[in-house]
Amino acid sequence: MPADATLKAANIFLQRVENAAALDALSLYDEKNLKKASASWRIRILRARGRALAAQGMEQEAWAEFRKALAIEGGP
Amino acid sequence: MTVFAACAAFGICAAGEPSPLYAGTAKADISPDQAVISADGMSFRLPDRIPPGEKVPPDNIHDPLYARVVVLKSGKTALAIVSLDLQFFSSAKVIAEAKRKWNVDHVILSSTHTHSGMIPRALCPTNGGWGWAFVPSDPREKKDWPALSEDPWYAATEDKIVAAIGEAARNLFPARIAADRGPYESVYLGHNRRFVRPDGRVVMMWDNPKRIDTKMPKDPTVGVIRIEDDAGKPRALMVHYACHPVTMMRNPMITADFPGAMVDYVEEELGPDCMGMFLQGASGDIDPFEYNLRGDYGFNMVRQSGVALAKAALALAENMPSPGTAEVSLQAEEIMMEIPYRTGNKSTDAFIMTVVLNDTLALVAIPGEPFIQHQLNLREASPVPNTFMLNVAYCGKGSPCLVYIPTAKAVREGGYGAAEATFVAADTGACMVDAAVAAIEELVGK
Repeated sequence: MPADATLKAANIFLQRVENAAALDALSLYDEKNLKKASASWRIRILRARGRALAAQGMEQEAWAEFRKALAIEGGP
Repeated sequence: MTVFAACAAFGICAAGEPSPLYAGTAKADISPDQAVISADGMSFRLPDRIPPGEKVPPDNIHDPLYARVVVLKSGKTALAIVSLDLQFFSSAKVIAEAKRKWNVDHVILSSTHTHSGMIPRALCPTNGGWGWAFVPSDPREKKDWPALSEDPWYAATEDKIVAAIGEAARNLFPARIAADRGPYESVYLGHNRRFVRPDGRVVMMWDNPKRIDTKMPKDPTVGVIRIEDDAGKPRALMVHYACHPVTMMRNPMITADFPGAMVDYVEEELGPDCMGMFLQGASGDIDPFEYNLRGDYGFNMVRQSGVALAKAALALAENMPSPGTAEVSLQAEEIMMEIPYRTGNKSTDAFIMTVVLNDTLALVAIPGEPFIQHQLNLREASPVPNTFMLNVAYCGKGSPCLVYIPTAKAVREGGYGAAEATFVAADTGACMVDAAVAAIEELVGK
């Protein structure tokens, strides 16, 4: 599934509080697939993961994703 | 700025002299009920203020609003700490009645500051009067504050709070108390909404969904006060944290926001005999990372942010050293300050209460919304290790609410709360911190 569709699907799941389904949708972009995406998509997917993990109550894991996104954004 | 010490270290016990501690707890549901609603809808979030098609009370009560009371008594000094699921509630009547009926000399009415609770119609911003959008003066100038009791919901709430203080004061048990503060960096809460750009311009970041570290002041810690009975069973857990409860601000549902979710989780974990309580810190410039949410997603975020805060507080409480003695020195000092307007043409008065227990816990109640830097400065300067600043905390005299209390630096920079919705002199917060520290030093004999 394209990254754009994945993000939209994850957001719909989050709005419905189907957090596990949101994380499942985002799991298409594992570390290997994430590396293949452009920086701008990586940032968006990491932030979506952060939101989904926060919605699931996984605070530390959520922080880790948000920080990864910030690191890419602040990088060269 | 003139400072008047209203009472220097009142109470029968001399400073430092320990006496047995007794505590009592009670809570009252202060949600609007049908009887109040039918009385001409004199409160906020009632039928005529809710968009067409949305639910109206009681169906728009997502979770109940509570008044939670802890009464502490040592020697002849009695103090009630009241946490209210409201934006603010400055009732001199409640405090006078608590003293008259229950001999509770000192009351702190500390609101959680939820923006999704109830306020009297007379304070609604679109009602042609004083509101929270723009405040150029002491609210007493435009509103007859005692007349708020004419609002049926407000009057009923005053009665419920007085009754709850009485219930707590009549059911005292021998108690021990301990306090601590520990690190807690929330992924949900605690973002400073003022961002000063390199060019000096202030940008209001009402939310921060990317969790950017703006390097603005914040306080990534949580404080806890644990009260247990003589068998060591926890009976109350107070959680101190600074953040505006605005997660669901513009939705038409009534909710206690994250403080309510936090307390629910604490009570689930510690059982029905232990009351949870939220104490709002200096959240004048602090927001959740995501705010103004709606629907199921929003309420899930409220729940998760409250649960995460509760877990941090419970972990801290579990690892706290047990209080060594059942005897405490409970002291307080009340300070009346004359506060000049920033315009310099007039002044108002602010009543601050400082409470010290056993040289290890101090509470400083401020009738306004101090910026977080004041809390950091107070903690740095206080000789008492656990010193907690309470936001929008009214103690019976002076201005009902000074609204935002920025730092002098923030006033120079500008932005909401610093240049707007604030009327006090730029050095008000610093003077309050100095006065509170002096009071604490006096009470602990330093």
